Amino acid sequence: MHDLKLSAVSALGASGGPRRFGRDGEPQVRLVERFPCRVWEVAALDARDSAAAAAFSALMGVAPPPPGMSAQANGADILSIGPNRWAIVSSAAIALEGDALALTDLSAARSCFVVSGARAEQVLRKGTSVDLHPSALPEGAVVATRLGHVAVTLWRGDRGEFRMLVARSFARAAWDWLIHAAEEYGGRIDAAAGD
Amino acid sequence: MNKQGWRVGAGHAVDEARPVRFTFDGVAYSGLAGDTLASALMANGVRLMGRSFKYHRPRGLVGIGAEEPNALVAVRRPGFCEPNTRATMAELYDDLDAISQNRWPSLRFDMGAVNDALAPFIPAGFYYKTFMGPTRKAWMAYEWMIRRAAGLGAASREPDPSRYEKMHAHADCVVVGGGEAGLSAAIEAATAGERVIIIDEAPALGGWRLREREVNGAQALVATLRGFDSVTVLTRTTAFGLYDGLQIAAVERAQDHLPAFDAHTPRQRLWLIRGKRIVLACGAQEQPTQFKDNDRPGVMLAGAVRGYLNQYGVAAGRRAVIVTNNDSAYQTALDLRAAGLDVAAVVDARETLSEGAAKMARDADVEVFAGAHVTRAIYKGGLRAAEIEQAGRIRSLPCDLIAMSGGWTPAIHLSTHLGGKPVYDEAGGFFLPPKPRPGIEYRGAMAGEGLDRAERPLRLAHDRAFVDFQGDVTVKDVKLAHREGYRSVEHLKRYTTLGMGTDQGKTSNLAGLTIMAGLTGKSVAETGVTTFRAPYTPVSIGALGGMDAGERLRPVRRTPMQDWHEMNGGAMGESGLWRRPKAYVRDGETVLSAQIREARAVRGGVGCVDVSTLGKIEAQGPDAAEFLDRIYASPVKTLKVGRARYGLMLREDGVVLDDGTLARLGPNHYYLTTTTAQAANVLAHMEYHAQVTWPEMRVSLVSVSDQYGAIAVAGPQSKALLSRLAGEEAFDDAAFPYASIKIIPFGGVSVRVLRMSYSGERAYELHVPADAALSLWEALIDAGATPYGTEAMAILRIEKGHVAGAELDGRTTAADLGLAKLASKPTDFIGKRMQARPGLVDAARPSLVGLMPADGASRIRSGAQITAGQDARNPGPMLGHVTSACFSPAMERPIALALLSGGLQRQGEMLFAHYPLRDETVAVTVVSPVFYDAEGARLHA
Repeated sequence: MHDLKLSAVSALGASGGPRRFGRDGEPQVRLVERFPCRVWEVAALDARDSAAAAAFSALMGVAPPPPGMSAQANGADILSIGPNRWAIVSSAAIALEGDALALTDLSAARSCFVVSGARAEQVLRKGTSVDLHPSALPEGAVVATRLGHVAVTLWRGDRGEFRMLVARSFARAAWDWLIHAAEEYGGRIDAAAGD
Repeated sequence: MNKQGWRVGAGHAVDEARPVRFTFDGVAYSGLAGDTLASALMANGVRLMGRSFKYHRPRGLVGIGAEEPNALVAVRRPGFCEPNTRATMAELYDDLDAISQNRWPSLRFDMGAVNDALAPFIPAGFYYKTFMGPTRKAWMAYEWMIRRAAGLGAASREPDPSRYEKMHAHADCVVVGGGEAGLSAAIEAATAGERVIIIDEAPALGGWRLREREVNGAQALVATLRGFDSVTVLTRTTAFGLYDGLQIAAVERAQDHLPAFDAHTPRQRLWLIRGKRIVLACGAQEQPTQFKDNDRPGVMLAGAVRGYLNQYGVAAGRRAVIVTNNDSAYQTALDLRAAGLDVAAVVDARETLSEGAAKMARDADVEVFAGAHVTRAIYKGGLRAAEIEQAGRIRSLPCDLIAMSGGWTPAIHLSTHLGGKPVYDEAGGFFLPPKPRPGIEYRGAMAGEGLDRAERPLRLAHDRAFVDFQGDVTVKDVKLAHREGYRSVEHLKRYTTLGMGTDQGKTSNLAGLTIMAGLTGKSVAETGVTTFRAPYTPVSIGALGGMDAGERLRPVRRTPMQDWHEMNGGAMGESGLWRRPKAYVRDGETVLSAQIREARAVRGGVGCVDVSTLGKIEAQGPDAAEFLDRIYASPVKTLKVGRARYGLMLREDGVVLDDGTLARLGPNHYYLTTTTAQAANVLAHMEYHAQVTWPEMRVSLVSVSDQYGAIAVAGPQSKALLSRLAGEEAFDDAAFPYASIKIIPFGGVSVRVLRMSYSGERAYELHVPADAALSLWEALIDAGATPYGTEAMAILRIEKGHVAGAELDGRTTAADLGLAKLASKPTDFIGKRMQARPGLVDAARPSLVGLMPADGASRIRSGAQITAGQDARNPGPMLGHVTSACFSPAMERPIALALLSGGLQRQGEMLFAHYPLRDETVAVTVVSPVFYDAEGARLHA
């Protein structure tokens, strides 16, 4: 019995493997799944709680980002995802404890994708009505939107790339959607990356 | 292959060095790269391009762009077919294969043309008047025949394999129309640093300026615009709708001009464009004039004639008669003359020519008949002459082309999509767009700028003058509508079909309402114009659907084990967006025999089932216990840490909302499960009450449905199997009794284990982080668990009388389901008071019972109606219905659950379950809904 060893697998299964797809030529879109990816949701126990930001700072050691924005701290992305509600996204393991805030481990509940390349914006524009132009969605900005029919949390990383969280059960649908939308420009899936 | 005898010069748009072969109705022709199908056919002398809608009259080109009412063809086949393609908008490509429509057996000889001879007997409203009776149903039969005879084009019945996509875009300034006015507006905006999107339906920017003899000015503007990085140019793109929020919908024909479609690129792309401001520079549309037989091939718009000549080098005729009521048509005379073509005369409705017209007439050296009208086109296998009338004198001018201009009217369609009435400009004789909403402005001809003044109304033309070419509406039809009282323009439209074609009356509305104004004696302004609605031009359904086809229509939700199910014989069934295995079918098995094998394996040993689709919610906070106590009918506050119980919740109206498991992980920490179907509703229900009803309560709710894969391990050997995997001490009954939750490490992964049972057997639900769920599932099967599907799961729960979606149907109370004791705690909870309503405590309410076939063998079907009478045709009152049914391997006979009036008071009665869809009646005996192990001993086995 004691030799039982469970392995962790991504929601994408084989479809997340590295390959070229779509139109020939230099790929203009790059898709990467960050796996493993740790995600925690941190929420005030009462959304109206004015002390929640202070409690967050005490827990995380940094002030929370303002609504609609993300911040980076200790290698983690901290996203504002609702009133007094934040997501912590990190490649390294996170262990949060305390009772001032509700802490929920969603590491296995979310898949994290990175979409980059010259045509990344066009690919996403096929599915979301949010303005993704850098003047409207600058580095660090976070939006809750949909890609086609799948809800995503989308933010712009520090290299201009787009990062997104997708509910695990919808991850394959969202990934297949991204590949389909990027075929016009030619794309490349790179190996799952910690960052 | 015919040579292009009507190509008389070098057009700006075509490349003489690049011939393009194509066919029309099977005949091979040659055109040039840059041609449209219309210009290429005209270059080859083809004048007859279609048959009309109702009278099947021969028809040729009228226009040159989106307005074309007649030259509708079908291109590409079979699934790729696009009927009603306007030949004027179809760019020529190698091996384009176009066929004409609305004719049988051929375009030249069309049987339907008999309708033309019968025209006096089929006026407007003919079909409705003639085919009214004898019953309303009769119309349904007539309609089928009439629709076959009338109508335009035919859609393919094949699936369209083309790729379609959607694209969202945002800009500071969206310019619709790439003519001179639009280009200037776009350059202004780009110069001011704005993000600009400019849209034009043609392959190149330039608009009408590209149809002039001289195009350098337009090309210079385009070059300037192209110099800005902040400008997105969308050509071959038709803006077809303007919506609230300054949103433009447009369709880009991304590949329709290519011989074959690239599989990676959309054929058409739907653009949804939001602008901070919108400039409409949609230009103007030339209008026809009305005279007898003005629909004959060879009668065209004067501007179109000029366009074909300058843009494509194609002559629409060798000798033209020009008929006009404004100055613009004189430019056509000049251009025709410059190309060495003959102009017989200009027939001008105005008594006195403007200075400009007089000068152009002199320059072109053409005879002008002022105060004159064309009264008739003389057509005999081709256009032969124009019959004209001046001051009472009739004469005939031989010609093969009549170029007409009834004046220009701004293309106001988009401007009216948000409401607002167009404004009639008396001086210009045209409708201007309504007062713009904030953020919208009009430029160029759209705003009436630079349009030649037209003299209107023309005198009432001959009855057989066509007003709407596409709808086959004549002056006579407008008169009939007037006589019968359909005088409002909206009634006129619906009665005669004027303006209802695929061209939306671009060349007919103005004439129709002008004629109606003449008949009623009202002004054109008072008469008004019909409402234009999106789309401006027809849009294919494929473009509207975009990527939402096939597997992308509804995304599939996948459990962590779905790949395994699919690879191991899982017969997958839909469950909302999920796919769940009904059973794992082995060689030689059916789904039915597999599910019975699986159910037996659970009762006789141990099985495992993927229940990851259950909703899972984490509730945290110091007020979590109090909050959940108000949400659930089941007691919550008495639940100790580490324990779990059945959780039942009611709606506000006292009816059952959902059931699941309620488990306490810590003093302020609960783990809740819901049914698969209600997962989202239950979370929304709780969030609503947390945020609205009791905002002061300190509780946080987070869905963890996707965080945990869930596996129910059930059967008398479940404990032994799990002990082998995670250690005996973890599963010791004293430390882990029934109705508990415990976090147990499996191979280094913390698993939330609920000791609850749906099957009635000793069972454990393992909630494992989803990434490790597949690995644990495989370990369980390696250790000897039999995987079972949703059908076996249903058998096991029916045998135990456990309720599921069929019983929790939004109409049943806790008492109906035999769960009254669970909803009777002293503290208040949602739905408690409403349970006591008279209707909900009525003793006659149907309540849960079990049924067994009286003969011990007949199948009882879900949905069957239960009565006391055996005769299905006269069964007496309905007493209830069968909710769930199966063959029970444990009882070795069919069993069922039912909601039955009188409930268990009828225990032992014989009733009848009728299933009229299959003409089945089964005699059934009412029994307890708990068929198996009523004392619950097996939970501890």
